[in-house]
Formats: sequence, structure tokens, C-alpha cells
Amino acid sequence: MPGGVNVKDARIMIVDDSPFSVALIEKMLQTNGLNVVAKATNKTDMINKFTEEKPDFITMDLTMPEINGFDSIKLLRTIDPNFKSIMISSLKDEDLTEESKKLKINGYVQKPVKEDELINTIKNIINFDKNYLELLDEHQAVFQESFVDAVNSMTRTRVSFKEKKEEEIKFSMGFAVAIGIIGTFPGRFFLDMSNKTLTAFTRSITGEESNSSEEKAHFISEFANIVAGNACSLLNLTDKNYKFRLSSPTVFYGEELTVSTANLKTFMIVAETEFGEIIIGTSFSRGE
Amino acid sequence: MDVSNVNPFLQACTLVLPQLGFSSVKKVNLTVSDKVNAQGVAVSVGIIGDIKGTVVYNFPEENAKKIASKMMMGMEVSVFDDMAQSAISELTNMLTANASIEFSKTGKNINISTPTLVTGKELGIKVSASKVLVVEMEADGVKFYVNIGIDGDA
Repeated sequence: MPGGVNVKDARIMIVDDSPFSVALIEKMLQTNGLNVVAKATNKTDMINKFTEEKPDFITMDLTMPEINGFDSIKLLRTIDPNFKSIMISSLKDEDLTEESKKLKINGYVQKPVKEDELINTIKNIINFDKNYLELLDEHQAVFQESFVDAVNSMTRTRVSFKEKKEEEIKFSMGFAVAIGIIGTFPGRFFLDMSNKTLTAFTRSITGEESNSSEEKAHFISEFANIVAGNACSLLNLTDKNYKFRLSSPTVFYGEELTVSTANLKTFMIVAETEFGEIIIGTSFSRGE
Repeated sequence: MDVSNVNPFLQACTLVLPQLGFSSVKKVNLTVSDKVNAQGVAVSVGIIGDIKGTVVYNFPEENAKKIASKMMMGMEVSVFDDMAQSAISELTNMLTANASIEFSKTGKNINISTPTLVTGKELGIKVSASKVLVVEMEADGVKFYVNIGIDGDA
């Protein structure tokens, strides 16, 4: 499913050696508007129908007489690897779920199948790619909006944005604050600015002429926490199962500071505030 | 302050580092500090759940290169480049993930965030916890520090 498909458009195949189970699962899927395109109760049937229909999604029984569910998934992937799958079995223990994870099977549902659990599992898996791409697409605007709101309400000043190339902001300007984002797509949020910018920004809030690094760190931690918290709350409200939560902020400062973007694509935008430039960086991963 | 919070991190180090080719992994020292002092390479990983806080791993730059080199099958690391940064980030992710499994065995369930890696000469680092447990570790003579800041510790 490159790019992700809508749940209702996903083409689903059911494999189970018991015609009774096939009928039961099919009924649950159809009742919920899902599209079953193929059913198989033996190995030959499974290979033929899979090859013919190229489904997006397979529900796979584990224990079958000719070939087990894990080997079936491996076999079908040699024909076409572009499908997602869940195991459905009366057996479920740590070894089996481990094996299932190792094979990158997307879910595991125990028989007797509960309709809610089955449908939610399938929907979440199918929506996963789509939601991730949407998140990458939409989150920057949300973080920008939260940033502007926070600056406006705290300092009554305005903010504008400009794009900058990644290589132009390789080095930190002096102060960086990072907040870990935990949820379906774990990631991080950071703000980066010069000591001068932070000093002016802090002063506009505290009204004091000079603040220690410690005080500035406290202020920017709280500011970052407000921006990230509001942005993640807005994203959570879109009901896409993001379940974002924040870890506590960490503030870094020092000479020749750099913030590494090596392990994760980082989206960066420069906010031009009355106090100076502040870089807003965000990244999200697919998680497990 | 609960010093037993150190144990999951020690267990993670003694489990993960040998898998990367280190033969001797030991704790050299344990101190309590009211701030994180770091030089070279620092990686912060957030923790939320039954306990909340931040772990900051610190590697003097030369040591970060040595560890990254070991992780990359002995490939020479002369500059702490993107590849080496990625290796060290991954290491801290593995260590914290393993620590979270150890925490869960004691009934504390936690989630961890994506690591943030920074480099710098003299790094000032401020975490939300007011007290930090500083564990000095040594893997085949290569020193690094695990700073554990649990919110609410005083």
C-alpha cells in the first residue's frame, strides 16, 4: 500500500482452513463496510487467489494442515511483498507474538474473534501509512500556529516565517531546547536561538535587565513546552490515533553547539520574532 | 531520590554493549549532581509513564568516535560525522529501550522519546529534574556518563 489507501478501499483477503471461520470473519468485515476480495481455505487456493487479486491486506490463520500461517506469509511475499497482514489464531503466547513481530506481521488477534478488536486492528493498520504521511504534511503548520499564538499571548509581538535550507542551519545559534514526543509516531521538537535572542525574549517576559543562563533555560523550557503541548493537543484532536505526549524539555547551551539531524529527517523553519530568529525543528518517525 | 532507578540503566549497558563487541562493561562511579555537566557529545532521551524525566548520555568526543567505530564493525571514525552521530543516537535508543524493559519488570511502565544528539565544546545542559544521578561507565576502557534525571527527585 504505497502512500496508503482508505480503509473502505483496501482489498482484503481471508485465509483460514475452516470455512466456518472464513464465513464469520467475512461477515464481520462486510458488516463494517470493509471490502473482502478473496477467500481461501487451502494452500493452492491461497496462492491462486492471491496471485489473481493482489490484495492490500490479509487475515491469516496460524494453524493449517498444509502450511502454517507464518510460512504462508513468507511464501506470499515472494509473489508480491506489498500487503499488510494480521494473524488470527486460537493460540497466542509470547513466542508466537515474537515470531509474528519478527516477520513484520502487523497485528495478532486471538480466536474467538471479537468484532470490535478485529475491525479496530485492521483499520489502525491500514490507516497507519496514510496518517504518517498526513502528519508529515500537516504538522509544520500546526507547530507554527502554536508558536505564533504563544508569542502573541505572552509578549504581544508578531512573528513571521521564512524558509531556510537545511545546510544553512547546521550549527546551533547558542541555545537549543529539545522536547521528546511520544506516541504512535515518536519524534522530537526543538527550538534554537542565539543567546542574544533568548536574553531579549526572556527580558520581555520577566522585565528584568539580566537573567542567568539558568533563568533563561527555565523560561525557554516552559515556552517550548507550551508550544509543543498546544501543537500536539491540536494534532491529537484530529482523531488519527496519534496519542502524542511530551517528555520534559532539555536545554543545551554552549560554544560551537550543533544539533544533529542525522538519524531522522528534520523539518525546519525560521521564525522571525522581534527578539531575533528562532528555528523551529520537528521530526517524526514511523515508530516500530 | 530513588537510587534504584540506576539499576535498569546498568543492566541495559551490561546487556547491550557486549552485543556490540565490548567485552568488559563496568560502573566506575555513581554521584549525585544538581546539574548535568557534559563535553563533546550529549544525547538526551525523554521518559514518560510511571516515572517521568530525562536521561542524558554524555561521551567525550574521542570516546564517541571509538564507540561508533566499534558499532560500525571497526570502521575508522576520524570525524564525528552523520554516520557516527546516527550510530551513537541508535546506541542511546537501544540502551534506553532496554532500560524501559528492565523498568517494566519492576512494575514501572515507561515510554521513551526519540534521542536528540548535540555536540559542543563546553555544554551546559538543563533538565527538568532538580537532581541528577550521574553514572560513570567504562566499556573496554572507554568512558561515558549516564545522567538520570527523574522529575520530582530532590
